[in-house]
Amino acid sequence: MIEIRDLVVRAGGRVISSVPELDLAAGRCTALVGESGSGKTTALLATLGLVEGAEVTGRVTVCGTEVLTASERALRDLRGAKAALVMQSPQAALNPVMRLGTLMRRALARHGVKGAAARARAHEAVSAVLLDPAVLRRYPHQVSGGQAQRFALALALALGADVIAADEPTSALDVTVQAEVVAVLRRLRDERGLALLLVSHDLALVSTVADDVVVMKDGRVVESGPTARVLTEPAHPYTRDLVAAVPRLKEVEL
Amino acid sequence: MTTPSTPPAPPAPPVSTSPPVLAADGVTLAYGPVPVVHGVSLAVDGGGTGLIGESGSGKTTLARALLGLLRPRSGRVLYGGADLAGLPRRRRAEFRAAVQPVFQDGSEALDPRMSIGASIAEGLTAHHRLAASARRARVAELMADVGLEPGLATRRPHRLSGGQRQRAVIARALAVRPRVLVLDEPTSALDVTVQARILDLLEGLRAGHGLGYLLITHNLAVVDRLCRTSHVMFAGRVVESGPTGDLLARPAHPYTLALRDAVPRIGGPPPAAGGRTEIAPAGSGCPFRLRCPLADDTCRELAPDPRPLLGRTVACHRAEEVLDGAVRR
Repeated sequence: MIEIRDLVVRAGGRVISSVPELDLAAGRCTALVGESGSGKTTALLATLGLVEGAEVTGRVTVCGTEVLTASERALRDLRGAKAALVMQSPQAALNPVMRLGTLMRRALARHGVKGAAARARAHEAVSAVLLDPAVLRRYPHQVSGGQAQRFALALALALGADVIAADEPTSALDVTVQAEVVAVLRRLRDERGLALLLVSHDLALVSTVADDVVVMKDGRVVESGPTARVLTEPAHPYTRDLVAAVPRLKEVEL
Repeated sequence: MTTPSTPPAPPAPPVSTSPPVLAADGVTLAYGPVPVVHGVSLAVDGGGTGLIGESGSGKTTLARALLGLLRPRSGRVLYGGADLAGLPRRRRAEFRAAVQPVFQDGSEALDPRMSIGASIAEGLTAHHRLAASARRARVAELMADVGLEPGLATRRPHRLSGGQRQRAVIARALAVRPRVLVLDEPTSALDVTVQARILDLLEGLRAGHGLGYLLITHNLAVVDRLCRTSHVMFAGRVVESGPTGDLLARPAHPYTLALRDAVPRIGGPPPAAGGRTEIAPAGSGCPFRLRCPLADDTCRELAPDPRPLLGRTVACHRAEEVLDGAVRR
């Protein structure tokens, strides 16, 4: 679904983000992790052709579209359907004067899905993210952060996304609500076969949903591989520091 | 940035029989007619006190009352055992120095037009008269205490990293020789490696400065490190209090359990999603009943009163069953 080769983003002559190689298949989740300034969000945005005011080189293929050479129109089509972007605070991304159902219906209409078919698609997508279809009658300010985030995922699903790129999708949420969103992400990956590209600073969170991790620091990849291996036997000293710094609950019997 | 030398000093045992520096006694708080904090009692001592809860649980509102910024609707905030509301002027000034806030975002707590050194010195001049040379020496000493290089004193906040700014906020709070720091999510805006160093710093400062901490956070692991006693808040009420280790190892309230099991762990099982997140409407019954897997008719009709159980206090009709593992992941 996503193939990245020699991606380099430069601003003012300086490399702000680079990813030499990344392959993400359907039904898998890869997480870009690192601290502020590591370049992880820039890499995510570059993957969807959303970096402006910087020089982007290399090759990025998302759902068969060559992102770095595609026309603006082709990119819009890609982002409007096959590859969805989910941001940290979904409420800010949802039009506040529109009910969630209206928002979903308009988005579907733009893809030619209308009437009963649109209603059915909306209900199906909302149920898939474990929301009560009653939320479709609500305005964005009437739902919780977790519900809004799940609605954003439902919207992506309804429009037929194969890839979801999510930037810190749970870091504005309470821990119990975060757990719900994680459950939904895992479901979308396992049952719908979506490919998830996740950006997060939270290694513990990443360990519960990502199959592979890419650890970034100062714009470069320092280590990558299967999550279980990288987080339990980190090879790079920076990864070791990151893992060691995660605050832990004392071991408790579960 | 230098890492301060922080001997891993265990928190001093609470030896005193004198009243705690800061306490809440049955505090109820409201914005308008609706109470958002209901009858909360807690004490802050040298062992560290944690206040755990999610958005809207009332923990920050309670912190505002403990800082003297919000007057209780009923109940009392106690400073050294005396009611804050009836404190004479001079004692009130002493209270304002003794109980210092440290909030989440250092960039909002520091004046952007002032150098860090001037910000730290401001506290010194507000509460003590000091000659300029003595003031400079004290600022240097405070900066060293929090692990900031002396050269940073002339910088403005925007030219510091997030971790450095939070260190400056802590230094400014320490300037007035406080006895209690009220720490409201002090590390949640920071990167994880920076967070770890700030926690080291707070752990080290406690012994050296004889400080009590009230730590407000949603992060159970942070509480686990800094606080001997913890209180878990849900919908404005403390639902469980007791030794932090016991609370997290074997929760007696289903909400404490839900919070703990929702925390993702490296190499651990997927975080447990709790289903519904609603708070039951005010009135009769337990406020947690809509989310509780054990709720029965009693829980729907009767709000549980806090009661002692195994060295802690818990407000749940079915706490014994929770302790016995009646709630499965």
